[in-house]
Formats: sequence, structure tokens, C-alpha cells
Amino acid sequence: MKKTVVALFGWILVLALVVLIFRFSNVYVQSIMNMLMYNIVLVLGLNFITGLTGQMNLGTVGMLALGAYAYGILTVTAGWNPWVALFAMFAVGFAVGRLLGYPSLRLKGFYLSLTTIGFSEIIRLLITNIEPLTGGTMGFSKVRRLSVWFYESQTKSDYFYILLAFVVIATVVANRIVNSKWGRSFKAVRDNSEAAEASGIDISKLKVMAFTLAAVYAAIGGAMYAGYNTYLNPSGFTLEYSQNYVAMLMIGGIGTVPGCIIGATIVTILPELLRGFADYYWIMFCTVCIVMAILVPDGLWPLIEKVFSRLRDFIQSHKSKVA
Amino acid sequence: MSVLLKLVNVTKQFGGLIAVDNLSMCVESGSIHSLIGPNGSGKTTTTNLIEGVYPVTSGRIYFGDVDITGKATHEIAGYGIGRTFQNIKLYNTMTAIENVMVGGHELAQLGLVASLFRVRELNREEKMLRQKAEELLNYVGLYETRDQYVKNLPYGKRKILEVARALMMNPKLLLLDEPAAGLNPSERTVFVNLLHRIHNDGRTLFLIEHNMDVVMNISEMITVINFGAKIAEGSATDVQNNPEVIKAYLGQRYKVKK
Repeated sequence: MKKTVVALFGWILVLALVVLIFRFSNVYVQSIMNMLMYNIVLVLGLNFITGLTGQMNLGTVGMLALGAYAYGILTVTAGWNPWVALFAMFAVGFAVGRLLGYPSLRLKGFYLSLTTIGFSEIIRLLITNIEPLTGGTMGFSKVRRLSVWFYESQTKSDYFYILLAFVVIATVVANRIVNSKWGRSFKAVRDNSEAAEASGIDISKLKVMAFTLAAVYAAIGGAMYAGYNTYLNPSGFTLEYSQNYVAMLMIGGIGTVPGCIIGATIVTILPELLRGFADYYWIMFCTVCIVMAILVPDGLWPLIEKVFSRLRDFIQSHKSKVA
Repeated sequence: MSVLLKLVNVTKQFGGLIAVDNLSMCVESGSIHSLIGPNGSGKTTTTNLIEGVYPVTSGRIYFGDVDITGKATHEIAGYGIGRTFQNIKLYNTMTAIENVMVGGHELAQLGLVASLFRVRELNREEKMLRQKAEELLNYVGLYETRDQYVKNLPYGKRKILEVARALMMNPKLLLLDEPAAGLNPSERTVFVNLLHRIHNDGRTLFLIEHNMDVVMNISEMITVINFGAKIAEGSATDVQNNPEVIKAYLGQRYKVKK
């Protein structure tokens, strides 16, 4: 009980801090924070399939693109209310998840990764070439934004508060799933699928479920992306972004919700910090990723957790000494 | 006594190799039944056939009144067959208690979406699973290690943990694939005592074992197979005196002295 209270307190503190930082930052920092919001949602989704269930998915950006364009087309071309379009994203995510999930049952390891890369490339090329619907390379503009009755964003940056609300909901949901029997079962499939089957777990069903969760998260992330940028272009959906999402997962700590958030933050901010290196930027970025993979292979969050538990033990032993 | 598990003329061929040859056997409800035989005689294949890991080439398998031939592994597990593995298969990134709790996957009813909205029910289920897992860990004597990661546990404890995980799903039949392999004598005694306790609590055990101490001491019925075919069946003394078993597997040493 005490542990959950501490965790809740921690979350609220982080949330307050984020709002404060946003409030007193310039537009440049605010735009990075906005990017961070949809990145977090995407990594939380990817965590279900790659982090927990252990199926390497390099097609996140394809799912994101589908979500973003579907949201754009529904709100602009079809003229739907943004909220209705948002709910339609659940259906889009569900369909994509099933579409990718079933082939994944027959594929393992590299082959699955290649298939997901293929999927996202197909999506990108389709978007580029179905010009009447997507605007092709010219892009798709004037996507409508979500608003609630008491709040409507005046500037691009101010959309942050709505995105932040999404992130909070996505985090709460992900946290519940990861810490429930479903999270354990996902991990069981990753750790030892034969044993999981013998425990009565239908691993095919579970893998499709994880893919569906990832796709729904990505579709919602896509709606956030489209709403924030209001302009979509196929060049924003290339393979390197998918790799970035895997890097976020890896750096933060695979399988944990705080890890996803930390990883997303680092990988979103790092390129901005390394801007000064100009042409050498990619070398620096990749070096940082490799060094982290070698030094903290489990990611940063398990490390932080360990420090916390050491601290707790230390305080407790100190207390007992005094008593 | 009623028959719990029945194999009728089960055959399994891998290409030209006949791994299990026309095997028929019955496991009585409430008994300890062992399956023994030389290396490569098809013991593990038989368990995998029962568990539905491989499809049978021909023949049928019944569990109670249900025909489980050709069913998926997780369905067969759901009917009430728990198993442990020859080379330990645990979830290494999880703690001992979490490993056991995964075994209760089918006990908790809430679906993924439902578990998001029904907060109170989910908490109750979670509490129920944790409590049951703690009881089981206490039962097998691993309560102290409940929060340790499995990869940090010694081999003997991991073997016992696998049994606890299998027990979590309330199985009627427990399949144990070489439970005593790799255990030292004192660990083996602990393990045999545990098996006795599980048996006394009304579960049926089906063992595959190489260690004759264990087999001859606890089995009520022994089936011997060689090259996939049954060569003898009966009580420990019957099997030990069967000339064919002695020739194929045991050697003269195990003949009971008159």
C-alpha cells in the first residue's frame, strides 16, 4: 500500500514538473515537449509487443502513419468531428493490429522484423502514391484539432495540454496492463513460450493481442501527431523513426512503463542537444546509443530502481540502528 | 478406481523413425504412475504427445471422458494437466511468486479490456492469485524466496518452483518429466517427500524418470517402454523381475533377491 502511495506521489510530482517546465519555456522547447508527448504514447504501445511479448517490431512508423493519415482524412476530407475521428482510431488500430498480428504467428526473429519493416514501407509508398486521397509528396494540410468545451488551443504549442492528457491516460492504461496478469502473461510468452502454453496460455491469442494494443496506441499517437503538426508528409514516416522507437525502449528499460517514458524523453531530447555537432550529429547519437547498450543493457529504469531500493534499505537499516 | 488418462494405440512417426509405437496405457486416477525406459525410447515424446506439443500420427488420447487428441497445448492444460520440463523452463525475468502466478492465468477470468475498467474486480483477482501463489510457495517450501528473481535461485529450488507453477492451475494430473535429474541426494529426498505430499492431497502423478531410487520407491504402477513400444507394465517388483526389462534397461543388479 505504502509503495503505491509513493509511486502515485512520484507520478504527480513528475506531471507538475512537466507542466511547470512547459509553462516557462520558449517555443522551441515547447515544440520538443509536444513531440515528446506523442513519442511517449508510441513507445508505450511498442512496449507491449517488443518490450513485453518480445516480438521485434520495426514497423511502428507505419502504424503511426496510418493513424495520422486516417485521422487527417476523416477530419478534413470526410469532415468528421475530431472526437468521432479519434474514436475511429481505435477501429483503425484494431484492424492494423489484427492485420500484422496474424502473420506474426508464423514468423520469428529477423523474419518478423523484416515483415514489419516491409509493412511500414508499403504504407509509406501507398501514402506517397495515392495522391487524390493523401496529397502525395505535396503533403496533407489543415488537419483539425481536438478541443474540449472548456479549453481550445490558441497556438500550436498550446495543444500540449490536450496531448498531455492523452499521455496521462495512456500511461495509466499501460501501467494497469503491465502490472496485471496480462502483463505477466505477455512476459511469460517472451521468456518461455513453451512453458506459457503448458500453463494454459493461448500464445497465438496473446501475440495478436499485444500487436493490437501496439497498433491502437500507435493509431492514437498518429492522431496526436496529426493534430499537433496539422501538416502531414510521407517523408516524416521513414524507417529511421521506427528504429528510434526501439532505441527509446532499449535505453529506458524494456518492459517497464517509467522506462518507456525515460527512454522517449532521452531519445527525443538528445538530437536537440547534439545539434551543435552538425554533420557529426548521427555519429554522436549512435555512439551514445551503443555506449548505453553496453553499459546499461537493461535500460536506465532498472538502474534507477536499484538505486532507490538501496537507498530504502540504507534508511531502514539506519532507522533500526537508532531504535 | 477410474481411469484418468488413457492412451489407445498411440503412434508417432518422425519421417521414417517410429518414436512411439502403438502404445496403449492407462493412468488410474489417484495413482503415481511412472514411465521408464532407456535413452531415446520415446518417453519425452510420449509426454509431448499427451500435452499436444506434437500431433499424433495415429491413435487417440483420452483425459477422463474427453478426447484430447489433436487439441492445442493450452486447451489440454486447461482440462487439468499440469507439467514440468526436463530442462527447467521458467520465466527468468520474473520473481518466483510471479512465475507461480502466471500458472494461474486461467483462474482469473477478467479479459484485457474488462480489466481496465473494473478496477475493484481486477484488484480482487490479483489478490486472489497472489494469495494462492503464496500458499503454494509455502506448501512446496519456497516461501522465503518468493521475491527473488528466478535466475538467482539454485537449480534444485527452480525444479521445485516449476512444480508449484504447475500446481497453480489446479491440475488433476501432474506430468513430471525427469523431476529428479540433476538433483543431489538431499535435494532428491526433499523432492520425493514433496511428491508424496502432492499425491496424498489427491492428485495423480505421471512421472518420467531415470533415477531408479525415486521410481521404485514411489510408483504404484510402472510402464516400461523400449524403442517406443511397451515391453512391461506392473508394480515395482513385477517390473524388476521382468526378464525383458532387465535385458533392455535395468540390468541384473536390480533383480529383486528372493
